[in-house]
Amino acid sequence: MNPVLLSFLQLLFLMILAPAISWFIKKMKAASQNRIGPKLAQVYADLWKLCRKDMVISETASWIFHAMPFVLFAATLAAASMVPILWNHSLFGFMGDAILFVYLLALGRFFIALAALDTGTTFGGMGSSREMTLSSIAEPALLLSFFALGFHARTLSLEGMTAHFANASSLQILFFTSLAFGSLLIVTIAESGRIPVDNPATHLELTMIHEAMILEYSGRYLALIEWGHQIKQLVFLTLLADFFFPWGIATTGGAAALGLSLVFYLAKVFGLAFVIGWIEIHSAKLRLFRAPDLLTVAFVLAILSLLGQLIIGRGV
Amino acid sequence: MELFFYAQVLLHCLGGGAGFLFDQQSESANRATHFLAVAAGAAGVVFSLAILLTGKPWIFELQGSLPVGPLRFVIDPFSAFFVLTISFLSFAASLFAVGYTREYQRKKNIALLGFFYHIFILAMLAVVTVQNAFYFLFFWELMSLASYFLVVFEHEKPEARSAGTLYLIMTHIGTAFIAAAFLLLYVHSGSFSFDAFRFAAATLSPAVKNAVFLAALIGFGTKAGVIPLHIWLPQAHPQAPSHVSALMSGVMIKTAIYAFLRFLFGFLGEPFAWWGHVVLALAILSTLLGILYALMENDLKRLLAFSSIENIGIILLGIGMALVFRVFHQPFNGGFALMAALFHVINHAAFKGLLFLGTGSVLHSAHTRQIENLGGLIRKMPWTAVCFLTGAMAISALPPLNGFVSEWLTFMALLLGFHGAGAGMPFFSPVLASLLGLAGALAATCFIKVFGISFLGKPRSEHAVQAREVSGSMKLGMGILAVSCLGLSLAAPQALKILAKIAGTLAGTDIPVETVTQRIFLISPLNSSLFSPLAVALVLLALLAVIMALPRIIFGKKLVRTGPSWDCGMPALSSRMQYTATGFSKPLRRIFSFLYQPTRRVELEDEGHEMLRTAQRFEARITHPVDEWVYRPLAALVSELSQKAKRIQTGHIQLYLSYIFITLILLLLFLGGHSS
Amino acid sequence: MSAEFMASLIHFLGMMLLIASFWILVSSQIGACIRAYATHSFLLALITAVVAWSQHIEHLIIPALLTLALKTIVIPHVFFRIIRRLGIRKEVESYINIPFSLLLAVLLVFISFYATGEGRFLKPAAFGEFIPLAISTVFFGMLMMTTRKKAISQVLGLLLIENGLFLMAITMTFGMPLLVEMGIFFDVLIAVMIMGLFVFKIRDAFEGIDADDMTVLKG
Repeated sequence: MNPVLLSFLQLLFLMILAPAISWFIKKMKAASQNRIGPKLAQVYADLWKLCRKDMVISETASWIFHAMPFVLFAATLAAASMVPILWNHSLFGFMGDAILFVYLLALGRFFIALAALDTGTTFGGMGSSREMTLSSIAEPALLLSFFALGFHARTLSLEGMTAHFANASSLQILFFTSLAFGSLLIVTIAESGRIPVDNPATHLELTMIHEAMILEYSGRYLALIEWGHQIKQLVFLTLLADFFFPWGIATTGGAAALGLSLVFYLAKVFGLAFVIGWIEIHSAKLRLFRAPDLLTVAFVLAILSLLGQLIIGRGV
Repeated sequence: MELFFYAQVLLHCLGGGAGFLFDQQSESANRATHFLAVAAGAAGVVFSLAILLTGKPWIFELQGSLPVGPLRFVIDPFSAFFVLTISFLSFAASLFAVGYTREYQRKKNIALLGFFYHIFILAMLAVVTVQNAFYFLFFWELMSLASYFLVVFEHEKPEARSAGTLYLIMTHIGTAFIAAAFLLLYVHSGSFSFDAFRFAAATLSPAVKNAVFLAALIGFGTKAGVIPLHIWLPQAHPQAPSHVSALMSGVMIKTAIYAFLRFLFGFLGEPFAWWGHVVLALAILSTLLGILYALMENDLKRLLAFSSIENIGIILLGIGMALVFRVFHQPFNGGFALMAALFHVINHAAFKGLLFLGTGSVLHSAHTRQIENLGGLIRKMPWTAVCFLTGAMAISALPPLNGFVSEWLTFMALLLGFHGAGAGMPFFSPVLASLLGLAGALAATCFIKVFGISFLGKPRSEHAVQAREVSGSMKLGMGILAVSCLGLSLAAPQALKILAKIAGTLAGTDIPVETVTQRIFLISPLNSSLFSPLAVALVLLALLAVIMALPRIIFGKKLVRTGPSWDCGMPALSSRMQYTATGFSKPLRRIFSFLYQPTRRVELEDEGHEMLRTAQRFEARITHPVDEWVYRPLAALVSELSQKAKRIQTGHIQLYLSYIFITLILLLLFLGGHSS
Repeated sequence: MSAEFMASLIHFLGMMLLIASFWILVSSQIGACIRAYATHSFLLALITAVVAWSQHIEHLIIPALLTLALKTIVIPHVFFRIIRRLGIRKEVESYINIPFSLLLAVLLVFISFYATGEGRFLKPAAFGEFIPLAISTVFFGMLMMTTRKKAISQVLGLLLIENGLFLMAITMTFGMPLLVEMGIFFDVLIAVMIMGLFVFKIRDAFEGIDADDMTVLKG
């Protein structure tokens, strides 16, 4: 198959799969609370319904408020398009490296935090302030874990790193990159706004972060934001799968390899979603001023991962 | 080509005097002086671009009976790069000034403002081109004095006067160290000419080298605002008129970077390993503390001044890495690090200039610099808002703007430390890089606060309600810089081609252009990473277009109702209920409390019972550790010494004369003792 | 088992040791802190044993066993008893918050790497890369002793310092003479006992084990 078309299709696949991951975690939570939970079709129906609804927009809002959902979605999608999903290549992976990936997400965050301040309510400001605080601390951890992995792979391009780990064998070095896994997992939880950093299922002013920022949104804009958020979550899970469970990713565009890769990929991301869901079920949301502790742990884990590789590299 | 150089100098000289031909407080004086500055800036841009593109240096020499040798200017590509930065920013700032200075008409002497403004720009141009230490110091001092007079231009304000005094003191301490560095080199080489310094570099003894390095670091560090020598910067920069603040933050502090690079890569020969480490340590300190203090500021211009400290830190990160690589004889990597630093110099000039001009517009129309008193300006001043947003995004290093490009290059330069930069560097450099990421994220937080609180939401004061969009020349001045923020990013591969030559010359190697940039891509050495600003911009644009079009095609045009913001059922949401700037930065203030040592004071007044409260006052402040722990004891010490010295001051003129007499005798004795 | 494998194993354990040191620092519960210390000591014992085995220095087995017995079992046990007797269940109290102490710790690791790079400091016998690890462990202990409020954390800090020194001795010179080592173990045990007593006495005298209370003792 045409490589560009294939890369495009895998991106499309990721976009479509993203709500299902959120559904899976919701279902897990429901099961743990003896509820039935939503059907799979429900998450898609929600998005569809939101798209068709009219919108109510605050009279204080300026063009920033209207532009934000599009910029957020575009930035998230651009970041997603750099990540190898089913096979070793990505649609726009050529345009940059892991640093660009991090900063594209920062672009989306910049706008969502601005739009939150646009309506002039206290909730928006609160969410914006909290989001930026936590992400300021999460970002160096994310970068450093990329650097730790890049040190091992000798490249920072996401495609190159994926290819490297797909061929890596030494279990011992994998152990130290697995410290980076811990780091990246914590950042994933923070970035996708999950317990113990943020609670996605609440509208309680004391605890909400992400929800506070988008409180004024409705209709089509809200659908874009929600979907974008789900895509971002799946992108992080995909990265975890690519780097730490690199088995089965297709290196060629053949149908058999792709089919196998699809099965592996689904198993990996649902497995990781299970881990995230399990953490969500078994822990309480941290106080806002405790969350930096967790993120600092992520930072230190990344440093240790780097240090470990250096010591091994220098060893006898 | 040289015609443009003469034109630039001549126009500046004319512009300095032009104001005095008219009524000194009039519109015509304003126009004459600032339009001449615009023309001079344009000529400078053309001239320096010509030098950069051809790569041929141009020499201008004034012979004559000058005491310390001929007055010689050499504009090589390295100098031309700084000339370009200065000219470009002064071009945009002068355009802005035409509208901005109307504020002062009939109140202040505009001709005088223009006079110092032109001298200031001319002195900066001379500083980055002159080739003789003596004249360098002369122009350096001229630059400092001209900027001092610009800082105290609004001298009726006491804070302007005190900031000016502090600036004067600090800049002279710095100049003293620079003079010491030059004198040490003079003693060694026997000449004030830069060529002689370069020639004698190889024979410098280690002790002298170290002494010169330290003196240069302190001297130029003071001008550049490196923490802990930054104390004057956040006080002096905000006091000047906004277009001058833009120049001070955008280019004046870069002249120190220029001179520091001349020292490190010309006059000092082979560096020692600890130099690079010291520079890196100061750089990361400035980067982090600069942005952390910017985050806590609610005064727009002070905030921007603190963020200049951060950006000087980022530039120094590149320079520090270049030094480290030089020690380990990796000129290619060192050259790459220098390219990152140099590119950030011009990028910072563009976006910081833009932000200062934007702040000037806000100040011009809302008459306040306090973020807490602004709000909702995006409706009143749409143009200014767009420009300011561009600057805010660029400084937060968001793709596809220019801030991200130079930050990416700095990241790459730091990560090069993985290989062959000595023990410890493989570990330090990625951690430094992640701290740079922390600074970037904090900068984003900081500028979301600035833009979100002052431009979005509802107006928080009568000032903000009254704000109107600024005049055409001000919009144009900002617009040029905003476009350049995008342009510098998209044209990064071309810019790198020029920078590769400059950095190669400095680092003493040839940097093949195709190893750092190919077509639209920037390439990091070792081929570990690629990045293309143009591709990112196009992909984002394409995605944006698709995302905006598709839902409209599938679901049709959206129906929108407007209503009030959600008020929790409580009617009449007022602007006082919005989040404040102080509140916005509160979580970070708490997390970094070990640094800020925040203190708060709550005063309550009541009529005999706590339920009958009549007044409530709240005060929160943070401490600046450097001020608190370094400068306060120093100031106390100086004043104590002065108190002691006061004892010899009795008021009798005879006694003073006898001091002179005794000194004379002692000197004669000393000389006599020496010669015998 | 090849020598290379042994060396990697030791490096691996060294990394784990550093992680355990960080664990001690981040633990906000005193119990977790003690458990982390036990793990730390256990890893130390393992390293000693592996060194003994791979370098064929049989007498090192004894300190390894002693470390295992004393530091992983007896001392934590004593600590837990003290906690139970004193009824401490609270969090570890510190003058500086956890992110900052972690960042300080990273800085200390930085410094220990910088100061010992390129054989600038002591020529190692075999495992030179352990010197920075050992020194950072010592630094961590000092950090704990200087920043924590409760006397019990200070005792833990001291033990951490001792572990660091022990690690240095093992990896650089393959241990000190047996007699010296035995003496040190005995000292540590006695020190813990005495400090345990002190903690009780401080509690009795000040009705709390906050070491800050002792500031009133100055003249």
